[in-house]
Amino acid sequence: MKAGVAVSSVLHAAILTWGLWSLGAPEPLEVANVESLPVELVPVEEYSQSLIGKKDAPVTETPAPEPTEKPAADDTAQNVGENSVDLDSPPTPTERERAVEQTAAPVAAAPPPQPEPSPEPVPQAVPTPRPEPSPQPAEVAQPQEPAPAEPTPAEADPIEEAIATAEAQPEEKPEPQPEPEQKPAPTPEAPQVASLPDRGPVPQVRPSPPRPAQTETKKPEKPVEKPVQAAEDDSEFDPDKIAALLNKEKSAGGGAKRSQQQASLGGDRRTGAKLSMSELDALRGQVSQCWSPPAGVSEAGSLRVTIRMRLDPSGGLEGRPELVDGGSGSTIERAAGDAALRAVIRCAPYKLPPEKYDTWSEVLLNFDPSQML
Amino acid sequence: MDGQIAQEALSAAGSVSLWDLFWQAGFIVKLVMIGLIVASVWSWAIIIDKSMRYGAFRRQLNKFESHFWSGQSLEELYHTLSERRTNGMGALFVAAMREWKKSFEKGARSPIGLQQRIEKAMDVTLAREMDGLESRLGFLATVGSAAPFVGLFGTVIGIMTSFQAIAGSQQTSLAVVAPGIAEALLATAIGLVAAIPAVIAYNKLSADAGKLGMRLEAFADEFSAILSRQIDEKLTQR
Repeated sequence: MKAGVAVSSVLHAAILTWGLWSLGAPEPLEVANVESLPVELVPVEEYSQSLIGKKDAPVTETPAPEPTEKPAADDTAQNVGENSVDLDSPPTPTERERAVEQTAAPVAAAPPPQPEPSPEPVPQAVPTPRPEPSPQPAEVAQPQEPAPAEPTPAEADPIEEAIATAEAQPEEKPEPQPEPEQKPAPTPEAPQVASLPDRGPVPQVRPSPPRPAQTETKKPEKPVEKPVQAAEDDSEFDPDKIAALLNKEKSAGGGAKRSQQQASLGGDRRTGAKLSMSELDALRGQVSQCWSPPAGVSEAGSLRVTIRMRLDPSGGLEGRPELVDGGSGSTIERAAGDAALRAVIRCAPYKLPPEKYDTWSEVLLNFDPSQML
Repeated sequence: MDGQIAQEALSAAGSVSLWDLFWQAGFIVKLVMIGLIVASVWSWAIIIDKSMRYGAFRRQLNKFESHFWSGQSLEELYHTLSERRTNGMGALFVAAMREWKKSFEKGARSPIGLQQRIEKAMDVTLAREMDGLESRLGFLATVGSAAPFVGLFGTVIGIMTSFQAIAGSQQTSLAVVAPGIAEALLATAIGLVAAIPAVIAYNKLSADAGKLGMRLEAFADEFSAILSRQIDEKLTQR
């Protein structure tokens, strides 16, 4: 037995020491220091409805276009758009030149009274061909100097107004009214009252469609020179300044493209065109205020009503809202449909962001009484 | 980040070699491990001793049988064997022959009584031999069945204490839990290391002891038959 114990102890000691040395610390598990990679699911909308910005810029909270090279003296624009002046009104698509003519129309409204003083001078207008008008204005300026001396200021006004109208007239369309009598009038006096004749002829030339485009563009340039002279003469009211006072901005609204902010990720000219959740909620709240859902009905689920309404840019209803789904069948359902229609009509002017009119020009509203319980 | 923390914790807790695991273990777990190692040492001592002894025993049996069946006179054989200490079949033979001699030297007359006495003597010797063969096999059986449980006990205690420590330290990092569990599991490992050879050896050795016992019994029966024939011959001679 002693031999057995001795052999056994020796064996154990040997195995244990071998184990201590060879089975020592196992290799520490190499945990690669890989940083977790954040993955973001980006809906396509972020691109299809991207805000204005720069394509290679980082994403930021607020949309910002590429900063302008030379920082403008004005403050950073508050609204996004292409204008040079920052306007609150929503941007509208740029229109043709024609739109510009319309804006000038109100100025032209002044001249109508003039026809009375003008009758005599008018005649000259007919003969003067288009090309000439360019030299004429220069002549017109000269006669003005003597004019203040001879006639009373009251008389001077009509003349100068006439000049102004002459300048403005290129933009006037609505003035075909010139008296037919004026045409037959003789030309001889032309040089004397050169200023007045200018006004007369214009309407007559107008009718000929081909030219106007050229002449209209030419004329506005010259008048700009004259006002300087005129301003020296008459400080009280210088009709020549009317042109300068005119808002030459495009009638289109929208903000200015002017920013010192770091550009953010976005498209070239697109502005976000989707109602935000808060805007949707606002609309929902507005409608639900006017809506009295049918009460005391056991199966509210069957009273779901869908209404389609068209809105104009100011938020008012355009046409009558119509029932798309539900609201027909039993009397209760019909009552529910009527209630929904009433709610839509009663809340009529909806407050919605006008710049996103495209998205809410037509609205589908779901009225579900079960959601109200 | 986690990897760094784990490595720092490891370096703070020291290495995880077997020795460190043993040394960091709690008192009870250490006790269990030491007890299991001692049991393993003892059971291996028994295994080695028994296997050696059984081999020697078997060789003795073979040698005696060859002597016994060689046609040698039983008297001579008895003389040679009685002078030295014998075991196994030799012991059986010597015990039977001693009883035979005593009976005839004293002039016993009852053959039936003599036969019974010889068989009793051989039975006692056989029982003593078998007892010697099977001694300490019970320890192997005990180790084989109980060592895993003892190891498991150490593991449970170790894990318990390590979890208590975690609850105290307010940390749940795997690096904090791992060493405690590893050192606790070491106890189960040692238990299994002690138990598996013990079970295998117990089955093998008990089977061997059974075979040797069968051979001894067979010899005892055979020898008693021979002696009873001799008794009959002696009685008829008179």
